[in-house]
Amino acid sequence: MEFFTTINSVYVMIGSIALGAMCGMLGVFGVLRKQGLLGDALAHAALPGIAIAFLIMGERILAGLLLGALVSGLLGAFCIQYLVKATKIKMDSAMAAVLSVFFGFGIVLLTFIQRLPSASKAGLDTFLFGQAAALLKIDVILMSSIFLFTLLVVFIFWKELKMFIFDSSFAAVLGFRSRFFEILFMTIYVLAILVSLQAVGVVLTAAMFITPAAAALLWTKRLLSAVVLSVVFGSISSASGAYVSIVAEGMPTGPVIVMAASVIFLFSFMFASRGGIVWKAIERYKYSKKVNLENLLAKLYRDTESGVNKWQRSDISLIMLWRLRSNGYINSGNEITLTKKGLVSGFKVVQKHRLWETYLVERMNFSHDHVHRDAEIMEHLLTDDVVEKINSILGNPKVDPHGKSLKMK
Amino acid sequence: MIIVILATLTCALIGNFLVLRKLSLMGDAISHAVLFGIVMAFFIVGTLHSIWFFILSVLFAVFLGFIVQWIVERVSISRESIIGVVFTFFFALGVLLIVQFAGNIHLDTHAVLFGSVEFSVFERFVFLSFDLGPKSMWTLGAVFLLNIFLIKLFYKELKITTFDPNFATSVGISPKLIHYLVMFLTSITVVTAFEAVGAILVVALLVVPVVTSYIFNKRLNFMIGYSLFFALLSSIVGYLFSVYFDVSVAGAVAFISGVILCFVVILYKMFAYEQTN
Repeated sequence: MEFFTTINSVYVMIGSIALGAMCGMLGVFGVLRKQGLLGDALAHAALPGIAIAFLIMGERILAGLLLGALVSGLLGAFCIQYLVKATKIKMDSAMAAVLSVFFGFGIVLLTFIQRLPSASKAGLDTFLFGQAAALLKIDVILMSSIFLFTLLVVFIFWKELKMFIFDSSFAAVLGFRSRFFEILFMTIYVLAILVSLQAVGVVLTAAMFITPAAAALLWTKRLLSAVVLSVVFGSISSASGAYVSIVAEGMPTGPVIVMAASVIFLFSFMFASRGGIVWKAIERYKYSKKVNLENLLAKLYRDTESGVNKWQRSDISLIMLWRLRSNGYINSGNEITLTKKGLVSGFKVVQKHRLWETYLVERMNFSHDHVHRDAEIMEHLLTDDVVEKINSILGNPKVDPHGKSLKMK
Repeated sequence: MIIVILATLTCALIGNFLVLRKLSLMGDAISHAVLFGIVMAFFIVGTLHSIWFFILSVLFAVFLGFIVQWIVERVSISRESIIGVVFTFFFALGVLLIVQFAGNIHLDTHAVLFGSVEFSVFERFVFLSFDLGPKSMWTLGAVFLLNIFLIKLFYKELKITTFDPNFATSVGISPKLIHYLVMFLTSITVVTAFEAVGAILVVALLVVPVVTSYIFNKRLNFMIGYSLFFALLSSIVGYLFSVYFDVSVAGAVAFISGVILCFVVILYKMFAYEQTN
């Protein structure tokens, strides 16, 4: 492929995938701690550090800028923690306050820098919106080593991190130094943010951490599988973002990565085994189909009880006819009759309804005219085992409170 | 300068309820995601200066609140993560749309992010050929009055639903309805203010003065009063600061409000320390 002919593209690809994987991994921890937007806050907080580092150095040296960003990012993290701890300010307000103040200060410095007669200043803008296509070999090496470092940290402290996330007080009881992990966690978080600032910029860094992680958590509730899945989602979206930004001239990397990640999230939201809205809708549809069929069978059985055992085709809608027949509940001819199976199934629904009414009246002291609606729901839910149990509790009653038969005709 | 003051006051007023309801980051989300709304409104209306443009943006912001609420009710992931997913998606979409289709129009991401109070004075509001001053001043003023009016009208309801939603339901006030009122006011405030001052300053103005006053206030009306005072203070000092150093107004106001917050925290800690001894 032509795309891989330039060596630089390979670097960009590797760098982006490492980035996506790293953010995906850390994002799971952030989202589970309900601090998903911490990434957003710290990304903004890093800006003044970048600007100050630039002012001190007078030129654009990546390592120096990142060091500045690291310091101010950590300072921002510390400020958030301090505000929450020392005052009654809540986490979300603290994040919003630190984010906007630090970023405001960063903008002040940037506008100040823009008035300096320094030629290399243009590079600072890429931190705002990111430019993965401009990644150099040295950047990629830096990215990959930071990725490997965070991977190592997560690997070594896996158990501790897990406990720290899910039950920090339990962890404290067991003697884990939660303060140490707080600092450790913040440090690797800020490191990851710094790297992603380069590629996707300040605003969209939040998405690198949240979106793949949130999508992964829709599929699974196990930490390990969530982390693995999130890493996969993160890498896929970064790779596709980088690809588009290399191939299509002028397409900004960050937004494309975020779009890819959002598509994955949307897909997960619709189809994930837990909570996917499509599956929920299908389940609801199946249930309502079952309810309709059972209601019809019950009606046919009650008709039978009162002596009617033949029906005209026109009494029943076509679709219901088809469903009854395909289940073997009716014999079809010009006139419709219930099969043995249909009769039994109809009886079961009616029995459940009446038995439940009896139970409510006898054991729960409901008045007999207040039990119909509840039974209307329960007749579709009770299982045969439960029916047997209720029957034996009530001593095999012959009639329900309305005087209707509980035995099959 | 009047624009900045009006913007800060408007934001701080509604910001009180956002902070108390733990919705601070919603302001952040709306101000970013509304970029998409603005781009769409621009495509539909074709100009940045009509009332329809404004209405569409506000509608989009309200819609955003609905989406977040809708997803939150359906998944077991915390609200703030959902906010993060949704707003970054729309922001990214907005940026892509600008890059792809609107390269030559007057809509640049920088102005959206940092605001351009400096330039908003050039857009005049002309009525019957009288120059009545900058347009943002009038829209902000109108929104400010609307906020005051609605908040005053629903003050009791807002107060009860904010502090005790269960009690509110039991006396017949719908917390959900009031929630949407707050979201509506936030949307309209954010859209208006950020046209003038940019996304980041909007977040700063919504949250920082309020948080500052939240530290040492226990009563809602005092909290609102002090937050307005801090808002006023930071806008005036910030404006002078930016003029003196010739830097971004929005950034300077955000920065100064942060400095004030810092002072208040230190004073509060010293005071609290003396009290305990």
